[in-house]
Amino acid sequence: MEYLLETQGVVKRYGSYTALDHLDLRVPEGCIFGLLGPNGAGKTTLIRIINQITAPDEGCVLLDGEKLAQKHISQVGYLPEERGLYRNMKVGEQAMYLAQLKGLSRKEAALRLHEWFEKFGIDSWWNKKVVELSKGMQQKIQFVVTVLHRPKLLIFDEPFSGFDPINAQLLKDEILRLRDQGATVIFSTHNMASVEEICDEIALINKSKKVLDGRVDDIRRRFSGNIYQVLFKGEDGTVDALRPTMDMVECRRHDTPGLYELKIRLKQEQAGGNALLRELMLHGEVKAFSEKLPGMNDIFIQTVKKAEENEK
Amino acid sequence: MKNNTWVVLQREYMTRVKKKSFLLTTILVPILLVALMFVPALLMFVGEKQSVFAVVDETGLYAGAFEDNEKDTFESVADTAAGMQGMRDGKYDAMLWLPVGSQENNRQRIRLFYEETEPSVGKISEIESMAETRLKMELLRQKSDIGAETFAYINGVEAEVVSQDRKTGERSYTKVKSGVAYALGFLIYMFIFMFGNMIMTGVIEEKSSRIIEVMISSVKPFQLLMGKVIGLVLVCLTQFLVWALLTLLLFLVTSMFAGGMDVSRVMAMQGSVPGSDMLPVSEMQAMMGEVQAILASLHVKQLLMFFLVYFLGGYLLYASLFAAVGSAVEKEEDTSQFMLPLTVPLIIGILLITNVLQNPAGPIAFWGSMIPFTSPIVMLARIPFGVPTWELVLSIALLVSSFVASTWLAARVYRVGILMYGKKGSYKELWKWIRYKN
Repeated sequence: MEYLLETQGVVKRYGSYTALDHLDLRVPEGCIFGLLGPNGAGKTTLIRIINQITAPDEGCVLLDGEKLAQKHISQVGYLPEERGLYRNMKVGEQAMYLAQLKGLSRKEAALRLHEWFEKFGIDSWWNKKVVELSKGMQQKIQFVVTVLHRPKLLIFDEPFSGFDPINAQLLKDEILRLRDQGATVIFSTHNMASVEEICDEIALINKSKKVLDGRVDDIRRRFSGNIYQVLFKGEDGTVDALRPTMDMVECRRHDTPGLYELKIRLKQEQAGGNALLRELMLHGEVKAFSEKLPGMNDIFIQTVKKAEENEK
Repeated sequence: MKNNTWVVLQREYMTRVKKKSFLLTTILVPILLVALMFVPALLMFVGEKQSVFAVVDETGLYAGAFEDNEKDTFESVADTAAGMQGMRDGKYDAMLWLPVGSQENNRQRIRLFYEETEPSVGKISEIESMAETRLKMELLRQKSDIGAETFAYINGVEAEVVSQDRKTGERSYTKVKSGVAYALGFLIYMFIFMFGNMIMTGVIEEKSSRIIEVMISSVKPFQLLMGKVIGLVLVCLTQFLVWALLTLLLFLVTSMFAGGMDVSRVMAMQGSVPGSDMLPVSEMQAMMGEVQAILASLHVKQLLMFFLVYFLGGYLLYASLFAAVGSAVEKEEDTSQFMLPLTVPLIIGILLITNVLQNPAGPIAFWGSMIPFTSPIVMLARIPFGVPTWELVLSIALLVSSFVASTWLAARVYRVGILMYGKKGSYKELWKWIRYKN
């Protein structure tokens, strides 16, 4: 697999404090990569290193297989969590300014800005002062400015905070569209629901170390504990008869008589869900059968707690 | 990405030049300057409130000694009681009482009674000099047979030192130069402060509005800092240029508007020469000549050049330090602890000027004009009096190398400071920031 961004043994220290401790990350090209971790884990430091705001003390960062250099600045777009605009500048001027700093010519910048502004329905704001806009409006402008120079790598730090659901959806669609067009997205957030929804891969950092990474599906499966959710129709006796032969985690009577909600853990000798299903079908009617995957929220909490216990 | 400095510079320049306050100061200052030149002259026509003095002369020597002028009139009164009564009635503003003196007849005590407003030092010395002249004349008349005319002639003696350069033969105008020296030193002080503060406020604004987080992924902190520093100095130079042009224009227009009131007459009025509007043409020409001679002796071109050099040097020395202070705080109120080390040297520079004017080549003047933190102010005050070339070269070299050093140091604080939130900057903290690796 082709990796757009790779960090190899990255270490960053501030005085006696270690912000990043031998961090290895691989971000495949064209995916949405969730960068997760509790507050103070070192995410911002990593993002600043990728943006070349600060340099690592040890290790190196490769973008597109090349060591990070000045020329890569125009290939990265960064939307920080704490973001602002010059209050007394006009929206258009301000966007032009930020676009030029990313290396676009005035002409090109104006062209693309009007395109985006029209798409978001904000072209009428061009001559308004930033101070007259609401926070959500300002964030739309910041988003546009971040992606305007068509960077290969986009870094969004809590992009949805402060957006109403409609605009959050608009933004999400745009991010997915950008990925489909070939951009790679690093997405840092504490909102685990949105991670499940849009991330392809994640890395979890805790206390300056990576504690978990991989494809979201794989991770969820790994944490699933092979538990299946079953809606089962059978006689009262049959369910009780199943108990000794199966690892029944939960058994609840459904509101409809004769129906049971079961949670069953796969046994070691069972190769997969099919084996379990086959066995169940012998005893009654299976109305619904699905693998129960844990949410990213649980995985996050579980992993961080485990890492903390290991430390002790 | 070098041209990012250029993009930043453009923004800093354009937003500042387009500001209303910039336009206002740029237009108002020349108007004020010209007004300052003309107002004293105008005031002479309007005049001040006149005061009436009652004079009680018990010696009999001072009849007619106190001459009325445009400000004051003197009226003889029989005795102090009458004078006091007159003051109570509002007829007199003050009373001079000249009692018969003691044995020492070359001393005269004069008592001045006033009501509410104390007479100024200038007025008192005016009265003293009128009395002294009369007393001298009376004594001369008693001891010899000198007439009033001869006395007036002798009394009018005057000695004047005209200093001249041995090599060039140029006349020097020490007093004018002192004024110019002081004004130049003060201007530098003011501009460093004004523009240093502007940079600082700009940095604080960027930090507190958090735009810095967005900016910093595309601009290196050093580029940002340089864009700001250079952008602002261009704003300043623009302002200088507009001021110079406008002042010249306004001056010419006003002179023309005032008709016959040409430069020499205005200057004469400022010097409060009574009856100057009756000056004959030849004298006016002589005055014009003198003005030209003064300008020549000041070497205006050279002076302006050094003003620019030292302004730029001093500005560059302080500007990035001001920016570093701005980066270390989140609110403008928190700057005070870091401002002290910046303001104290500047104020010392201004205080040194007085000493420099008395002794332009003395040790204080020398060291003040060598140490880069005061040299822009002190050296500028020395230049009108002539400074050896090697001292100028050394002073400028020191200034340049120290602004390079200060910019380097400030940039190291700045790059960390702008992204540091919630941590109250302290000197210990700043020292840590300086030592951080990239």
